[in-house]
Amino acid sequence: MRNTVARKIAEYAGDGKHFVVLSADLGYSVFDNFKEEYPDKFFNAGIAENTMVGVAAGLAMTGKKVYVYSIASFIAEKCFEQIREDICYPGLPVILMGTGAGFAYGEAGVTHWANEDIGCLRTIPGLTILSPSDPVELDMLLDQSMTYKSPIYFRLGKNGEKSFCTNKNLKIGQAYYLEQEQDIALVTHGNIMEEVVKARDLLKKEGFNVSVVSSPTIKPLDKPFFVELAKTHQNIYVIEEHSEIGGLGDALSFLGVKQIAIKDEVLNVGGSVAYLRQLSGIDADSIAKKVREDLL
Amino acid sequence: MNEALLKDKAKAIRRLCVESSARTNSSHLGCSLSMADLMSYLFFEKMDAHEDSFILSKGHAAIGLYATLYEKGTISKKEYESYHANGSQLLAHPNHFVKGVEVSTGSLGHGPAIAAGLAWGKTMDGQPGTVYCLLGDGECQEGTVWEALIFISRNLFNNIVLIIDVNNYQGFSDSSDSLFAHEKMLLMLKGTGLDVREIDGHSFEEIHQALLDPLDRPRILFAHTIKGKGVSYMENKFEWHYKSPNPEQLAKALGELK
Repeated sequence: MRNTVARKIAEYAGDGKHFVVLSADLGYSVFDNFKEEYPDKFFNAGIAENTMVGVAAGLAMTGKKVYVYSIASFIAEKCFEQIREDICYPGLPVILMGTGAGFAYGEAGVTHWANEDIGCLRTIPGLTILSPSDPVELDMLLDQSMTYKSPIYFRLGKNGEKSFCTNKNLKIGQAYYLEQEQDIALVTHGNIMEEVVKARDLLKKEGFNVSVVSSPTIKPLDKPFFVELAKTHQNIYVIEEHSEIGGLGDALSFLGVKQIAIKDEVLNVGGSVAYLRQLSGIDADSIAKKVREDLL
Repeated sequence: MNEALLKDKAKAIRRLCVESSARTNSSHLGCSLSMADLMSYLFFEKMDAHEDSFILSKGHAAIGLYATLYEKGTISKKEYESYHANGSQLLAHPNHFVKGVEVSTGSLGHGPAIAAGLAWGKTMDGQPGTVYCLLGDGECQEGTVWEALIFISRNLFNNIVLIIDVNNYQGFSDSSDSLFAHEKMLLMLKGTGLDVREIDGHSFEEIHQALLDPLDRPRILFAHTIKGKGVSYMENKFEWHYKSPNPEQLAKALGELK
């Protein structure tokens, strides 16, 4: 997804005189070409995330369209107060891009994981939260971010996510069916989509036909879509690489959904993304097992 | 500079602060009085209402800002008197929904980074105007102040003035100097390479001189002030960070501020 960000940003910079990208010393391999091509539009703010977000607020006050880039937890969690007070209270249309959703920085450990970011940021009025599952979704959502009138937080994967998106006209605020069946639905967002699709395949082989829903917009929630979904699906599973507290599953709790998410427990070991998903019970096998056990 | 006018305005700001604090039983009076001369100079002598920007990073002194905006005619008497009341937008920390308040503040250490972005954005577009950001000396214990100073010291823009209201008192009876020695702070500020000037924050002549020559890089005024300045029994008494005057104290204060 990082390469999609770099490519799209280069497109916008070409015709956007008010366009600025700030990075907190991250994205060397992502933005180096962009930096060379547009030296007056890319700035390394230094290892100073709080200041970067505050500076973004000031720039936005002068009419600049500012894209801010860092690791997801360093933006969402370290800069919570700047996001709440400096960006969202005045409603400045700053685009916050956090890379490394969920366990994406597997071996790096807890400081670099972002399993609480949505939970933190969902509480802030006026902030749109987007968690695209693949570069195709990201591409369409980024296009809308350019003219969006209020702040956005993008939660981005970083490990070469495969594309599953079939929606050709995805809008901010929409959820959609990747596959539409009845009774059982797997709802998800973000980089864990590949596990969900694999789980769907496993279940299909066993004779369970399940719907798959992608909900790249976490906030504002596509309530009408989910209310309709609940009319045709008795069993809705919300699968996410995020804490079971505060994420999409929590947001959909009013529909009595079942959550497959990261437990609210201290996790004091690390490892690969695949390992951590397995350990947390959010990999394809665990998802399929949970659904199977519930329904048999 | 019309010093007589600035003195009158500073006195008027102080009277308004004292009255409002007494009426609403609200705190943070001492730190509003310490900055009154700086506010008078900025709003009645220095700043252009259309071009320049002002951020009160030491947001707890909001009543000092509202009093200044009322005295300036930016907000009405009715609005001003709604301070601290249920449903008012004039909260005890600055709220940008109030006319004349550009940035909402309150959690300390946010102003300098926002000021930097504002100043930088103006520079990119060739927009005129200077950004003034007023901080407290206690506020300089916040790490984000120094993070922002590192950014500001990159000299991407020279249209920013940070003014530190060095009134030497904060939340406890410990002086600010005892928590972060002023001497050390000054050395650190000078270490940024910015244009640091130490002045008496109650001397209009010194404030004027410190802001007279054009900026060739970001400037910092280290302005020594007296907490509670203008009311004898509040001066250098940290408890006026919290207390509000009773009727007798109010009458005495207003008598001194005639």
